[in-house]
Amino acid sequence: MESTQQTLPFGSETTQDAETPGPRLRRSGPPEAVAALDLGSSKITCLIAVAEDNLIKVRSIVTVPSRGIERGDVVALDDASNAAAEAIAKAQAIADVECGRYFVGIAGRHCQGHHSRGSVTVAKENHVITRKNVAQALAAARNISLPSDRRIIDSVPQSFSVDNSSGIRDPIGMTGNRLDAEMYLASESVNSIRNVTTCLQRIGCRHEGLLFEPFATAEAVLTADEKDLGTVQIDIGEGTTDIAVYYAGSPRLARVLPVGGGHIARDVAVGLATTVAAARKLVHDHGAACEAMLDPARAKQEIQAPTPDTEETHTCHLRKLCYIIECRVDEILEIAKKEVQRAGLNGHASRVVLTGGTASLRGIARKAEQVFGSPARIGRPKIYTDHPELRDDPAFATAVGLLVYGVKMRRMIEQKQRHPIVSVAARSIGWLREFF
Amino acid sequence: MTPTERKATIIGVGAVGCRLAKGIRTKLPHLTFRFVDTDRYALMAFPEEERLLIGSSETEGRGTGKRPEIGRRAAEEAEEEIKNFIGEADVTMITASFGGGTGAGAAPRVARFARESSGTTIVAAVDPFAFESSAKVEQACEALLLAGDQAEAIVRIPCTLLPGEGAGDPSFSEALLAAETHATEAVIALTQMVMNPGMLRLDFGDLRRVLCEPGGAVIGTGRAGGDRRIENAIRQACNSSFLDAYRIHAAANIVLHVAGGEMLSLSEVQDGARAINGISQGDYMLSVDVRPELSDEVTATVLLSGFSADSDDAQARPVQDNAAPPGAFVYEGTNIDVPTFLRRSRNKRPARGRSSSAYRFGG
Repeated sequence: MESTQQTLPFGSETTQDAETPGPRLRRSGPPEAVAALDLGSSKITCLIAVAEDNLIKVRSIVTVPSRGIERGDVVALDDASNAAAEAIAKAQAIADVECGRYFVGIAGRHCQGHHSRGSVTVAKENHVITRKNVAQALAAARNISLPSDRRIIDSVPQSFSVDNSSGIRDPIGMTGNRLDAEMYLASESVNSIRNVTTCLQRIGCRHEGLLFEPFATAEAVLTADEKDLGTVQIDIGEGTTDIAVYYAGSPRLARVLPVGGGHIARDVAVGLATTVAAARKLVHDHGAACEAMLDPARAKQEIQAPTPDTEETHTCHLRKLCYIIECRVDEILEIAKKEVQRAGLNGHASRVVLTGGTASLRGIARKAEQVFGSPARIGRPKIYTDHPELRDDPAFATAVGLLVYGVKMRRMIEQKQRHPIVSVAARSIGWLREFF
Repeated sequence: MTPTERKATIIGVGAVGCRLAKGIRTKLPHLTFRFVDTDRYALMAFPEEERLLIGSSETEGRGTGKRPEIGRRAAEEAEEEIKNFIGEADVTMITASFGGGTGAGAAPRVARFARESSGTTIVAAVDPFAFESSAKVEQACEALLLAGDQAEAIVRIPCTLLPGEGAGDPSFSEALLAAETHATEAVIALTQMVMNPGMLRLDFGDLRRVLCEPGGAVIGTGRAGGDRRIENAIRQACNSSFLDAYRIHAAANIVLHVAGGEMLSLSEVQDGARAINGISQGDYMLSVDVRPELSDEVTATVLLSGFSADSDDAQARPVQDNAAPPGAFVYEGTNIDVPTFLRRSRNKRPARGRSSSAYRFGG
């Protein structure tokens, strides 16, 4: 799947967040190339764009079938490298841009989210909180003890407290004795990180930043209101389901579950005695996540499923197909709900946004409404294109999110260079560069 | 209390035992309660006619300082007083923590005194927490042996702290509260099993046989509502992290007590029996009770005894629907990689929000 010349409104509602201190996205200067690579379990997507002022102009989108990646983790380096090389080569040819560095998404089954808090004492002279104090508090929050085989890959400030006043978004200029920073951190196993970097090195590329996919996806699909009011974002991919809960403008929970749309195809293959490829096509063509949505006449409709190892087909009822799909989707959503409840965040699940390739399944939003008891919608990345097959496809939410989030990160680093303070997010990337 | 019901007395011994007895009272207020302790101030929380201070000559009402020998002497000195105080009952249940001085020292003696005047005496002993010193664990073992000689039956309530299951590290007070709630619910369930064996009756003799197995019995409880509630309640009871030290499948005797509201269906009971049958190859007995106050929830109590000799050092194995190969995604004891419809077709109860037609499986 290939496309050229799409424009992403950089200053859209999606990206204009009134959130914790961060860089402004607007930037004047010459156009700059930006590229994102989403290493998914079913497809590898490469996006090359040009960021100019407040717009990202997408020059090419290429997807190739994934190889060597299962449940978000690299399981065969050569296969994964070859597939990534194929996607990158095609994207570069279409965009006519040479790109050596990519923002790469990471969300394997070993990813974990952590809440953290860091405190600093404000200088006694005037008790005014400075940028330096904020940076120190954020750095202290990031400084958590982790097992030696884990590394922090991403960190997002949640809020600040000055003495006894909590819920402060920007404390710079306020006065107080003590400043506390609340952060949400994402960590990943060192081996998974190394596998991704090695995979890129083999094809002569580097990453500009490893970004935690649930945070990146939120940049592409959640509105500022949704992040503020409380929303559960469920990104159901092929091999993993990423859950993120946003409230008061920042992430409160992130989980990666090793279950996804691939399980639906496998269940259908077992239940209808057919091949996985045929099952995937049946799910795409006829499947629905909510059998109650089928009208009685349609429920009795017969479909043909290929019999493995023969050229024959056998007849199945559409109801049976939908029942198998509904069972799996219901279970995935129930697990997501349990994770939200376990984190004590069920009060903040005022909306549900479903995204990822499986979110295209008919009736999935209604199923999510039944499970969560909250309004649900499909989260489509805000991208405008001449190609109707790409427009608003939730399967590209993460890839587009990586692009937007990546540009945000780049701006943070630029801001860091302008201001002599340590930007925590910039440090994440800087640290990773030093490490690898 | 109905005329056919046995007369039961619950005796709390020591601080933890008294707290458990107090917890039971909130659910079963019609029973007789007695509170025995060496700490004068802790006892002040209970009605005057139900409390008995022992060992005041030695401790001056300040507790034993975690020394069981002082608890033991205190109980022996007050033998007549205790006997008069606890009176007669068909069933006497003694609750105590065997990690404490009064519980470990006095409870076995109180059990002996109670046995002389009661039909059946059962000691519900709360184990020390896993992180406590080995000396305390040894002390609890000694007390268990002593109590085993004195009481007719002992039920151990394993009480390790709950690990943070996906919700991060729980606060100590949360974990402590969870442990206490678990212990209280276990004793309430046991009392209800003994006092009111239910509609599908369990012979009291059968229960005694299970309880009196050498090595004592352990108990787990679970409560669930909604879809597949009975299966979930049993899974909770068996997979409880409180039962970590026990190999459930090695238990020779299992009693499953299921209680539900008036909507408890026959198929659910059958599913429960099937579930427990899948857990252990041991002899299992089923008791079912209908309690209208439970409305749409069910409770499952699993009483296990007769562990084989090697079970002590073996780790509990989670109850899984299917053996999970390495790398499989196992969530709450279920191998998620197995097709959901296959797992669910075993239990055809409609789930919330579904049309019943969804369960008429068969293309």
